[in-house]
Amino acid sequence: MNCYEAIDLMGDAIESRVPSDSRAGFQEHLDECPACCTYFEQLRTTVSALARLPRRGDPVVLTQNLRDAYRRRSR
Amino acid sequence: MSELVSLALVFMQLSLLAFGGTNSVIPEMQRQVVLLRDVERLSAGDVCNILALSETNVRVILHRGRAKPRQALDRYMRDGATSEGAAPSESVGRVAARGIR
Repeated sequence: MNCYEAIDLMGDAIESRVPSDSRAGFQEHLDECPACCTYFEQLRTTVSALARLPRRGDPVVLTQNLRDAYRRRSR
Repeated sequence: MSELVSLALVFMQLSLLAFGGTNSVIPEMQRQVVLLRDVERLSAGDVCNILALSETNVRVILHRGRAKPRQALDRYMRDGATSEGAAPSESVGRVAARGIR
């Protein structure tokens, strides 16, 4: 696996959703490439910090409001 | 690590404020996707429906939207604190800046 392919998978890796056939190659690349390893850690820290920000509202209500807005827009 | 997360948290709040307004550092669509996926923690499917985008589009926009705060975190860690491990090389930065294919 090269850096392009590893970076492609980082978003999935943060959510533990790397396809099983790519998992070993992804881990191997991180073990061998310190730059990608650091990049991945920083991305994980970024996402972890974003997840701690206060939400704007109850996710269920928010989702419903956004869905309603979406439906109104697509009519 | 928790100290790092706290620092990052403060930074993200400032960044998110900067994301809005006329001098937005990331485009509005990227801001929306980052907010919905990472802050509100909606599923990828919900974000696709809400913003009427394909899953691939959401993936690419999310990747690009996360890149700016990550870069700022990288700068902070290199300039403002002793960083452990290697800094992402220029080539990795270039690869990432192009976004996912």
